[in-house]
Amino acid sequence: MQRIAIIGCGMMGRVHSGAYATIDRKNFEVIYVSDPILQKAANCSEILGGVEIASFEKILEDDSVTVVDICTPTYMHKDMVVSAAKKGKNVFCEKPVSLSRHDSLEMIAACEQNAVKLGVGHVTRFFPEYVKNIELIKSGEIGKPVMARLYRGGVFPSHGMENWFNAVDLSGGVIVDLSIHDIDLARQIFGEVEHVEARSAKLSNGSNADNFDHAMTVLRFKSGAIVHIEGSWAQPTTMPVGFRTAFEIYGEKGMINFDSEKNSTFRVYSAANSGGYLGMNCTAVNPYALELEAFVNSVDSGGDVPVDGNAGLKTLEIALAANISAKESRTVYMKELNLNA
Amino acid sequence: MLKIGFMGIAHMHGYSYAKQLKSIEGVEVTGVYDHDREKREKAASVLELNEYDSPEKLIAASDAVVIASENSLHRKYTQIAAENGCHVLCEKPIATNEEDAKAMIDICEKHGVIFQMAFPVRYVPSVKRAKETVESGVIGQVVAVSSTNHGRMPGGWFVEPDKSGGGAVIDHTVHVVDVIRWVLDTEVEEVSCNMDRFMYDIPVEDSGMLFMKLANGAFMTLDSSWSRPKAHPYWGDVTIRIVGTKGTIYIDAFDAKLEVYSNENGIKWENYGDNFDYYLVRDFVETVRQNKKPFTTGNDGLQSLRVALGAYESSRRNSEVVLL
Repeated sequence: MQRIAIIGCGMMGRVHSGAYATIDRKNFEVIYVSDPILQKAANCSEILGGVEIASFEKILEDDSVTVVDICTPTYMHKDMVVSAAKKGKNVFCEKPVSLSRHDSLEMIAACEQNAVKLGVGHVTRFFPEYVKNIELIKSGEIGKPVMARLYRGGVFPSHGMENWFNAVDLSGGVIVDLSIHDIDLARQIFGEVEHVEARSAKLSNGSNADNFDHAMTVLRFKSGAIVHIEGSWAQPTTMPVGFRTAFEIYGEKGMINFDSEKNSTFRVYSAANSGGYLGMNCTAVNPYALELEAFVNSVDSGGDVPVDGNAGLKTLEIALAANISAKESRTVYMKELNLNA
Repeated sequence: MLKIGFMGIAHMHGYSYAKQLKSIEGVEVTGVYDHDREKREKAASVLELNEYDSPEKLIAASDAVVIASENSLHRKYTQIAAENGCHVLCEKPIATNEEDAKAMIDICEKHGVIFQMAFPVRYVPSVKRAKETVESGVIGQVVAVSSTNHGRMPGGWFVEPDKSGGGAVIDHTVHVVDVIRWVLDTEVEEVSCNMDRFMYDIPVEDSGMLFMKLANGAFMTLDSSWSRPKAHPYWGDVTIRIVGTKGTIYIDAFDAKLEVYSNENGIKWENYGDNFDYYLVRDFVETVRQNKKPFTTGNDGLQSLRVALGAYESSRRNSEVVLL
């Protein structure tokens, strides 16, 4: 039986609360939610039927807490994960795992030394369209995968506390925060990266435009595979659907296409939605619920964590290499990054 | 442990129901009976089920049965089940004629067993959302419905009218009619239908186009055809456009799809959406466990069958048929 505390009740804390609320909580309960802004904590507490609100410090001192779920802004991850691990708590940490290789290694080491598990929230692995995609590739439907184009983008995430997404040193920027999902997917399909070439409006063009970024990343894998990743925080707020994901996977014998904008099982066009329509998710699956349930089960059973700290770090390293490439407008080899760590 | 057997496995949906039932805790799939030895052997081996050589033996081992036989045998198997206190989940259409359907409802009532219709489209989340949206008033008064239920030509007993009761029209009309009766809380008042055998050399129609007048005043069309060519990347569709005085709802139930282009296997769509059959059998299991009124009753099966039969009559008479 696991006893969970949710740390951070912003956007992701709310999403996780909603996810826990949908799961049949056989082998765990959520006993605390925590946020310095009381109203935010109260919102999550209400979603979970009146869970106790407590400070992070108090939660660390409560020995009955076995899992902390870190949903704070990225720049806070390292200190919180390390202190929770030292108190013997298993940690689920939202993506990206941290903002540097150094911090991530410290987090992984702290969890290892204290014999607790560390999971990282690369939730796309639990979206049904991505699960089906991997299944099809593994079944040989398109032969050996050799190229891919991956897209993820929408309006700028202006909901962040003190607009932290806008500060590259706090969020890592659009590649580290957003495209990291597609980097994770690319790693799943293609393995080890050889070199990275990236450009972003913010890092490459010297653009100072606030609340705006758009980036392209090209990965060359050791297998020879080439992957184009596009990430956007540049879409106008008037977009009828605020967010789009798409992928094209090319194999030696075929291809697989997906575009969230093309797929739609339900639309309402009415005066209340002028110029657009109201849709709904194409499936009732809550990928966050699957992700959190899988992590809790791995803690409960002592089994493997679906996406552990090392997997989170491997993915982060590629995103960081892309940031260097974007800043210096040159190709970055993964091996040079590792040497400098 | 709830023990559920398969009474007939001529309908391919039975395979899916069996797989989904096996995934539910506290349910044991006891086995399969079919009068066709080849069919029951195949199902037993593919689904890893026990084989029974008589309906009575299957029922003796089961608390409930799924009837997935040829349509014309639904009545016979329902009767055997009811007389032995066995609950029934019946594949659509309920029967091939009204008399059989009514007899099935009566005998289950008489023996106090649950009779549930297998209408999986009712469990589609977008259909449920459509009902909520209509009831919220957001699209105003519903004036028209345009819908399709396309599929591939299934062949086999589906095209033998003494077993199936007809072709594409009886096979496909009942799904969308049932859904619209539920979503709009209304009945079909009048039906007219044009149907023909266009694409295949078979003894039944492969295409049908229904025009309906609903009791709430709206009009509705339904294309219930086996018009999906083999070359199409997906087996078929269920689409429903509900037009109101203030807005429109559009449902495309199977649009959660990946497009797959394979040099060896051609082009196909792979669905990543919810498994509606799972929702259906899970609901049946709960209905039996709690001994409650089914979500989709025998009367729902009867009313949608009457529309399909009305469509055939309309086609024969070349005029509209009044149902209410």
